[in-house]
Amino acid sequence: MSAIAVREAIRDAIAHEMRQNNKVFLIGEEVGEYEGAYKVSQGLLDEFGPDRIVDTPITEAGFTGLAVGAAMKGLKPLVEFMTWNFAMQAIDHIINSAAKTFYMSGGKINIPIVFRGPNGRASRVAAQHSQDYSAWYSHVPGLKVLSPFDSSDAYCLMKSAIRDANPVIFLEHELMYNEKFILEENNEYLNIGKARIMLDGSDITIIAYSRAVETALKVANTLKDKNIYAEVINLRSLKPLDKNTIIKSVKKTNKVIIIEEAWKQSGVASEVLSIIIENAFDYLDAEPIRFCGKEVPLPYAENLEKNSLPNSDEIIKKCLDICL
Amino acid sequence: MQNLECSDIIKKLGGGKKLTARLKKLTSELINEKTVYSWVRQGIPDRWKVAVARCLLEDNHNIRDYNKLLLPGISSENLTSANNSIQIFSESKVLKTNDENIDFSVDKETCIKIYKLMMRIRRFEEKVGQLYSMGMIGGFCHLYIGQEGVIAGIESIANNKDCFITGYRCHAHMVSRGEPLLNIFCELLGKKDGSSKGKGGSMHLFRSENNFYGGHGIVGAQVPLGTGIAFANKYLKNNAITFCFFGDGAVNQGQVYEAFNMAALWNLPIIYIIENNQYGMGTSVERASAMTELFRRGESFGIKGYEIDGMDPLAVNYHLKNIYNKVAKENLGPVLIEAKTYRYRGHSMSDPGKYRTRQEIQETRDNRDPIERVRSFLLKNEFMNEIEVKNLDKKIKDEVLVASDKAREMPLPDEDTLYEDVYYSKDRLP
Repeated sequence: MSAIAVREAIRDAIAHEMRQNNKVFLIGEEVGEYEGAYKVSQGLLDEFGPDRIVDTPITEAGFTGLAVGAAMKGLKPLVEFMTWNFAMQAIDHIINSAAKTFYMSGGKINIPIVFRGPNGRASRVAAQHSQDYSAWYSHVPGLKVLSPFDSSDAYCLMKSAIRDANPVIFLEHELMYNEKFILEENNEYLNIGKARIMLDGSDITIIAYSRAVETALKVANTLKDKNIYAEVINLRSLKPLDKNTIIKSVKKTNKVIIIEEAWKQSGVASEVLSIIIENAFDYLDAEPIRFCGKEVPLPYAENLEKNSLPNSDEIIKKCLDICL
Repeated sequence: MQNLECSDIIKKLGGGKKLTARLKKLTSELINEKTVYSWVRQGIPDRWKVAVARCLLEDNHNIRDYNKLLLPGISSENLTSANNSIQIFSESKVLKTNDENIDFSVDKETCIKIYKLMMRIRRFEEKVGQLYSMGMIGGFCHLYIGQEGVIAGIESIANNKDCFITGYRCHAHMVSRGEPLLNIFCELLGKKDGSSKGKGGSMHLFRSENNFYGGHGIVGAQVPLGTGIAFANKYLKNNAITFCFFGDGAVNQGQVYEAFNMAALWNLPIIYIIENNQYGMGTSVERASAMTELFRRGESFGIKGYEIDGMDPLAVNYHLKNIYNKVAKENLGPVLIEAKTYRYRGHSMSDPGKYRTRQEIQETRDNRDPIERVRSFLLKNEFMNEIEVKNLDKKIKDEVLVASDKAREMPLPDEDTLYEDVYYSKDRLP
């Protein structure tokens, strides 16, 4: 099977679902004629036409509210944010209108909608375009939050997200769009809420999501050379979180580190760590450690940008400390 | 626009020289021949497109042959009263009525229906006010008393398949869309059988079976949401119209204009209704809005605006009937209505009322009350006699009392429902 880029995997999943259900439509800035600011919607306008691939003005609060309204009336909108940074203009509709309406209406009105776009850092675009919103959205009951790592994750999770009857936040990573991977779970609809074990191991558990999984795998490979076998968990569903997989792994390896590109305070890593402490405290042979983004607005300069993200050399050193 | 098309237009309008003279006359603006000829290369600038389109219309050319000439949101209809490129949109109007219009436009059945609905809303809201004062209703509670004419007039021309959405002052819309009073009372009292199973309260009422989509607590949020419902109706080709209600406070939210823009751009079947009760909480329109003719707030998007008297439901019925037909049958696109109305009670139950005088409220009640207006119309036209009206009033009062008494007896939600309805349980759509 040939490898496909993450961006193509997302596109193919969208196209697949759009062919199955004519109530699915894509809406956002530059999704149609421009084919997506990051080319995720390449070719979709040609196949589905302008009624279903809807170019909007630059008006995030407006088109997000509009899409939620369309979902109330039974359509299945896929809302593209050019980046999740711009969704802050629209976060009221994501949370107050999309996440809460099903509950507030006593189960009368559900909001089947997917919000998607690149999240987290890109490359050299500075603070306003480089924020990871995983913790923000995974805080909110009523939302499901997905964060794919590779093409398989992206393809299967996107298909599942579109089939889900709830509001789903789909956090892509710009620096992963071009990365190519073999599609492993082709044509499957994944059960949202399941983590994926990327690598089986017995000595230490490394937990990560999105692009940090790449860092985790790199660390694991280096450790392997020193006969330390790390288990790498790709969370990929941040809400609901797969507690069982996390706890089971920690009970097996008795050591854990968590890698997250986002800021440390109140982050996803904090939540994972709390779950471990609450459920597997007695199984820990060493203190659990978080490696997160430094708590600064992401700087522009190349060296500063690099230093503000989790550093694999540092992580490897710490793992060796714990394991040897 | 293609330049080829542009040179064709200039030719059709008698050449550059003649067109220059016509445009000068039409717009009273300075323009020379050279500029007009430059359009062959550069295309017609946006600000001149309307004037050129008018010339084409005057010469009986079919404007549809030049579909790219007009900007989105401008229909050829907009052009007829235009006298220059700046004033093109000023078709917004204050719509007046006289009794003669109305005598012919409202039949007995409609008139009684309007009266009944207003009366049910008023008695319901009065009861809610009492229950609130007794400490039985919690949180925020916004009453609709005084504003009944707006919803009753609109309901009288709408179908069940038409969609309604509003802000937090939503009890009346719920009554109007046919929700049993018992369920609304139960919701306000936080009971198991409430419209939202006791999870929404006063500001979050929904009746999806009759296309009422809430009940939204964030000021102005219902405007993009309603626009999205209209988008879906157009997408589904189901010919339903959306009525999107918001107040004079919400008109200053930015997202309202984001929604207007898209509604006009995509010609969505929606009627926006500003229920202008003259105070956004405690701030009068004059203290909040730089331009107080709220019905003109859509002009820069080409959205026609009309001011109507919201205290006269018969006038609301009369004007909305025409507008509804245009939106539904002639694909007119979005329309903005400003219904001038008045709330007799505070913004919410905790309103100190220091921003207006008692006299102001009393005068409106005495002279412009929507229920009195229809009652006297019913009697004048002999649709009902005094006794029949009295009997009807009593019947409604009893209905409200029975519902509220029953609601008070109903059980609280089961405690294990706390975690229900956070997520739709069937994860996959059929």
